[in-house]
Amino acid sequence: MQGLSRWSAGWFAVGVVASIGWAHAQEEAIKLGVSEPLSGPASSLGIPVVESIKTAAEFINANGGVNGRKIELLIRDDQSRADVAVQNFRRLAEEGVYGVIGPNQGSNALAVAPVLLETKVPMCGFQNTISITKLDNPYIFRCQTSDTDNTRAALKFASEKLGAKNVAVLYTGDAYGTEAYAALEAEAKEMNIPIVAAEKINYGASDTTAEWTKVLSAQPEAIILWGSGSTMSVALRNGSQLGNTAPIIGAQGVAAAAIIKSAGAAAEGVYMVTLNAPDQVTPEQQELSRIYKERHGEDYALTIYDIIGWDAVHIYAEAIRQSGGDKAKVVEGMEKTQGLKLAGGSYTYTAESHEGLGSDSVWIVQVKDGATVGVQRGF
Amino acid sequence: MTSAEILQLLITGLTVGSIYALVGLGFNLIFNATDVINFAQGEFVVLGGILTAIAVGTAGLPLWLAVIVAIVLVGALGALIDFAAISRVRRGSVMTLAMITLGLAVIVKTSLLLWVGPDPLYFDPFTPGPPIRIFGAVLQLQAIWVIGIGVLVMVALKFFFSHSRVGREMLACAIDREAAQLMGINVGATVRLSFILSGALGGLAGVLITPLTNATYDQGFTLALKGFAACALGGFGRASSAIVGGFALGLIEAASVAVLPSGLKDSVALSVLILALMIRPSGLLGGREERRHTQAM
Repeated sequence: MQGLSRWSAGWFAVGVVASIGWAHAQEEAIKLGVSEPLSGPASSLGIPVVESIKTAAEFINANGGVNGRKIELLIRDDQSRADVAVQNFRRLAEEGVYGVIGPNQGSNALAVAPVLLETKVPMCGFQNTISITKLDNPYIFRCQTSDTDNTRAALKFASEKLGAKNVAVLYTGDAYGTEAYAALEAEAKEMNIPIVAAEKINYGASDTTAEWTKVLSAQPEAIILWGSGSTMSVALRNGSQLGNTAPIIGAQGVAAAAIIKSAGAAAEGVYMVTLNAPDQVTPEQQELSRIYKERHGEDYALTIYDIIGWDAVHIYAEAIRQSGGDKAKVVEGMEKTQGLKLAGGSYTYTAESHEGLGSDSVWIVQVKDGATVGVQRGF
Repeated sequence: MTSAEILQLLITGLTVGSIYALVGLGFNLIFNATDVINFAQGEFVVLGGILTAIAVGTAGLPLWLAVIVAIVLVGALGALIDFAAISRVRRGSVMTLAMITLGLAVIVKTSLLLWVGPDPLYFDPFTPGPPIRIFGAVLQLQAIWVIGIGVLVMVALKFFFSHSRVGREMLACAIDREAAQLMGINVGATVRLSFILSGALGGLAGVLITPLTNATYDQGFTLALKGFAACALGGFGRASSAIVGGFALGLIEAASVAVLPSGLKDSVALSVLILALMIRPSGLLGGREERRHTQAM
């Protein structure tokens, strides 16, 4: 009798294990690839983005996952290099990911574009650079604001809020700056705002006084500064040393904490076109803000990087829900995203437009006492 | 353009030129002792700026002490480079040695990235206060420091090479190493000294220019390129030529912005360099090659 019950208990256990295994096989995790710079020059952007991607995946998994399935992240370092990014995208496709988040740098996004066509795996890119969604590549989705909207916002703000009747533009010679300048030129023509001076600054230049002298000689009523990197803080300082009094509107690349800090007093009062105002937490940012405050202290203010990583995972989660968990239909699912409200704003993708965020998500912020403060949202 | 704007471009040219000149002076020191172009010179400059920014910002040292610490440390790095790498292959060709310095530049750059990260570092100018206004043009106070100390260092180096025993020994080492050795000059020690001085000079340049340019881990190459161009334009081997070449390059850049789109600045400056060297291969002032031939004759 005792022997029998031991036997039946044994069989019961086998049955339980088998059924758990069966259930587990049915609910196999959804693999999402991440290819971001965790080392190299762009690592200061990649590291916080990956933290926010992990946070989002944990949050979704703790709240029931996607159709009951957990998200599994496959995180790869692209070392800020295009060739490594290409390798990562190939490997991740072979490992069966539903989609990839990254890369971070515009040049790397252009490098991986052909791989996407081959492997048919979509990517969620964090670039403002206008051209990435104009490559006729159905697998590239922008998970950031586009400089088409950002440049328009800058011009509208200059003319409508600052009352500027003309503007001057200082921009860097890389794709980020030159594409934005082309957009500004077209938009200014349409809005009938003359661009009285435009000067190109070499990326990484250590002095911009000559460019400023030329720009200021045209006596512009507002100055638009489009670029990224250390040169931007030099440019802000040079402008104030030359006694510029016209208001400055900087790009998202200027709105980086390190640049504002090293520009010091010269950054005070400068306006910037960016994705969030740290002092104003939207309802969609509250969950994320709560998690980050628990982790980094009560004074923590969300950055762009915290927001875009979080949003990218949620966009994929929603697309996979839409496609019924079918890997082959993720792109279709993405293109069904309609007004999905996340931390960065409202995302919409269609077969025609992979832009995601619209001009309603663009923030104008102003530097006050070394911190950015929200001035206006949406255009 | 108004006269104030032209004056502004002139001042900008002189300020930027003095930066190139300071970097160029460091190139000259090692070249004078070894005939080698030290490709890590730009990294010396960046390191000087970064060390000072950290000493002032994080460690809270007074500026004068931070400056001394930075210069001494970069000088020590110069000694270390010679001790650990250059002196081990002293029989190698000039090209081998130059390649070694290129490799060392990459090591310094990558280490800086790992240590301080990619964000720019900065500290306040030596003299606080608004820039000086001259007929509507603006002269930054830090630029006066850069130009002033640059000229002082040049005069000191000129005296060092022409009047001091060690300086003349250094020149002798480059002209003919074996003959110098036979004449009783300690070649190893002389070369080591040139690396220390060059490191210290690079560190000093970094300290002076960081309030104008920021210090970023990857700035070294661009700085070295311009410093090298300044030396080549002036003529390698003379302290004064780095200064003349540096100012000339800075003024050419500023002038090109006045008449051409500013994005072409670097291309114009380097095209002028190529042209100048085609007409006068040994530089504006004539380099040491020329002097060596006249001495030989």
